[in-house]
Amino acid sequence: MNILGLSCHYHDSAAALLADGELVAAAEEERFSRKKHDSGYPAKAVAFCLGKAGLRPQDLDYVAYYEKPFLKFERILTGCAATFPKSAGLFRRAMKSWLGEKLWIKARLARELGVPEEKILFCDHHLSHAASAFFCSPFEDAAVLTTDGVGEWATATIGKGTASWQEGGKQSLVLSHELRYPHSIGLLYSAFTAYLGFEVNDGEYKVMGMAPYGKPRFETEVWKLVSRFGDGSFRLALDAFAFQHDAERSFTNEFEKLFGPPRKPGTRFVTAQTSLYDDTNAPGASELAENQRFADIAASIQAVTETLVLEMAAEAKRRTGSKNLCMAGGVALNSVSNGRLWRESGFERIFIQPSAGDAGGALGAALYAHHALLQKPRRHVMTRADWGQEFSVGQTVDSLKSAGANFETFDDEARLLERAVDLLRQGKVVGWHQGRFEWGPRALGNRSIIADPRSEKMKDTVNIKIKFREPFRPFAPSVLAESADAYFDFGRREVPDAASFMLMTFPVKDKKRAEIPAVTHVDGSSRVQSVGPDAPPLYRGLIRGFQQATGVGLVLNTSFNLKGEPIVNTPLEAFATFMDSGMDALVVGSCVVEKDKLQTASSSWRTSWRSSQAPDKNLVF
Amino acid sequence: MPEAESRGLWAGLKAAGRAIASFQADFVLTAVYYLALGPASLALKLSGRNPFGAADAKTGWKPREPVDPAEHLKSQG
Amino acid sequence: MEDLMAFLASARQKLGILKELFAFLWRKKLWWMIPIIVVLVLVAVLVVFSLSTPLAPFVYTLF
Repeated sequence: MNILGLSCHYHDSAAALLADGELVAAAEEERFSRKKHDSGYPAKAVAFCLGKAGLRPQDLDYVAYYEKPFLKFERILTGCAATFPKSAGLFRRAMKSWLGEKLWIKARLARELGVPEEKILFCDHHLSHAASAFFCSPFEDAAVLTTDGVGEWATATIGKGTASWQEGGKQSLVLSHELRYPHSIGLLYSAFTAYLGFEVNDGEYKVMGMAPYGKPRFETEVWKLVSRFGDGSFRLALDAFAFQHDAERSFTNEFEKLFGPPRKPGTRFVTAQTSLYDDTNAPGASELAENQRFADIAASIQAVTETLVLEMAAEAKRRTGSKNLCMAGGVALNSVSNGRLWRESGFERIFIQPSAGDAGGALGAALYAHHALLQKPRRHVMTRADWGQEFSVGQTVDSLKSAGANFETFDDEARLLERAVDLLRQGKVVGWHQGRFEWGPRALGNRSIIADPRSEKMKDTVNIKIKFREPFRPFAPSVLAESADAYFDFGRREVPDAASFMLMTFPVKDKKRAEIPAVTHVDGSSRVQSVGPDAPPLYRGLIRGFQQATGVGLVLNTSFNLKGEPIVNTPLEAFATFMDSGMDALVVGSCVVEKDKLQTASSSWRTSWRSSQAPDKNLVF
Repeated sequence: MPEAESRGLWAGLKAAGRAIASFQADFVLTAVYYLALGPASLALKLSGRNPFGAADAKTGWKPREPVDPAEHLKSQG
Repeated sequence: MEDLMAFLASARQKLGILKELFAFLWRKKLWWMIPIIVVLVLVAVLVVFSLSTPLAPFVYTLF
């Protein structure tokens, strides 16, 4: 039984393939098309998934799409009618894309894949999220909480899942209650993302990164936008928001009356605690005060979000009585609120789908079809996230040769690791490209940039010289699971499942903060990736090697991309990104390239390669 | 005309056609908005139903109808 | 000829989707939405649909 799950047309398009309930492959389209947050039909991701399983489209038993197009269309029309006459612009824009494309998704899928229409299934958006978490979790019984911007009508749901590993056992996933549009925790957070000068659906984690520079002194003002019912549900004060009737704006003048003028996109963020690095232009008192206001607003919306998520989780616990919690939806990527859930919600175990955003819906839709429709027993627990494309030694060597690079090849893994550890110890920043790329927005050691976490300067170096991004952004550590407790305060005895996917933030233990400054955020917190026995062995070997050499069982890990670009996929993309950035060395498979030893890779190769790799251009009307 | 040049001309014509089409679609959709959605919006308001949730509600949670997975997955709505 | 067949097949699929859409509106008792959708569908047929055909530039300059 082969089921292809698909998500597309909104934010991040993706494909995932199940063969007899086992996950074979899952990937976001952006990794192939090189267009960040690509939302088009995921033709390349589909081709990759089918190729990985050696299947043709006609071998598919079902194609499961991650949402209900008619319900969404109805919600958009109803929203336009309810906000008439303010919604003329939104209506025009929405109708062009719906009548031109989105309404006909079933015909499009049938045509693209050449499958009969009866094989195409449609799974509710939040049910797809819920299934992506529950049917990937290790639990037979769990409460489920999904939270995002909006799906069809729902913006958050709670429910319960029961699953069995035995043939004939009951498989059930029921979402019993929902919060409905426009009352949305995701859209609330996104309104602040836009207010703080970042791009909606992309900059939310920048708001989260900015929050620790501030104090939540605007929390009372944020609560003026949100009235709680005392059971985890709430209403938004709609006159402060514009997203219901405006495609360009998220908030109104009422919002600005509470918080002051918004931050201009692209302006530098500088407070008394942020680094200036090599910026010689010292900030004046008014710039500092203005930015401190923005940091305080970020801290306030973050605090409110955490409270709301905790209350929703409490309601999910009350209604289901379960000791396990599964989460997905864009808000489930808020690692700070997830960390608090771990410490404060009272759930014994928490599983979060690593691809918690809309891309993950592709996998959820397929899993729901497999378990709820076909009543097949559980076969899969997601203990690792590497479900993307991989490259052979031959392909890697050919790629590097085609780029004119000179490199060393190590047939012996131990020697490869030794060299990589040596480079890290010398303070070198290393591009690390191994195995299959990760599912979800986090790089977990297969498409990563890694560095020594002990260096005070490393955070600035990687932010500014390597990734060309804002100096206030924090970095995460990859820590050996068995050493994690020595560095981080999990608030409980065990290390949470979700830490394998870098989905929770915890305080760094006081006595360790000075030891690992590059991965300790300004408030002493850290978004920990715990690297356990299920993680790729080479990556574990690298961290263990670093521990043996330095006594520190963790490395700095950030995604292998430059600002605004998707994470690299191929060895050639890795090499080009390596050449375009200030990285010192690149380890691709068993090959090691060192920048100061490079002889022939010419800048003309890079220029012509870059221009030939311009992202696919979709015409948008 | 050389092939490359005629292809360029064709591409130009198509781009111009699209720009005009987009403008035209805006015009027609604006008319639809005021002439068809306007009255519907009025009817919605007169019916007293607030699609964004009643202001005097006691909770924001809305129970979801139980679904039969087979029927659920077949339907687009 | 192949183009024409593909066009007809796509039109048939789209008609099928519209049938499903109206059944959905009926089932959910969304009467108020029916006239708007009828108008939108007519607009789609006249205007937006043809965006995807190679004739688009000429349809628009004549329309």
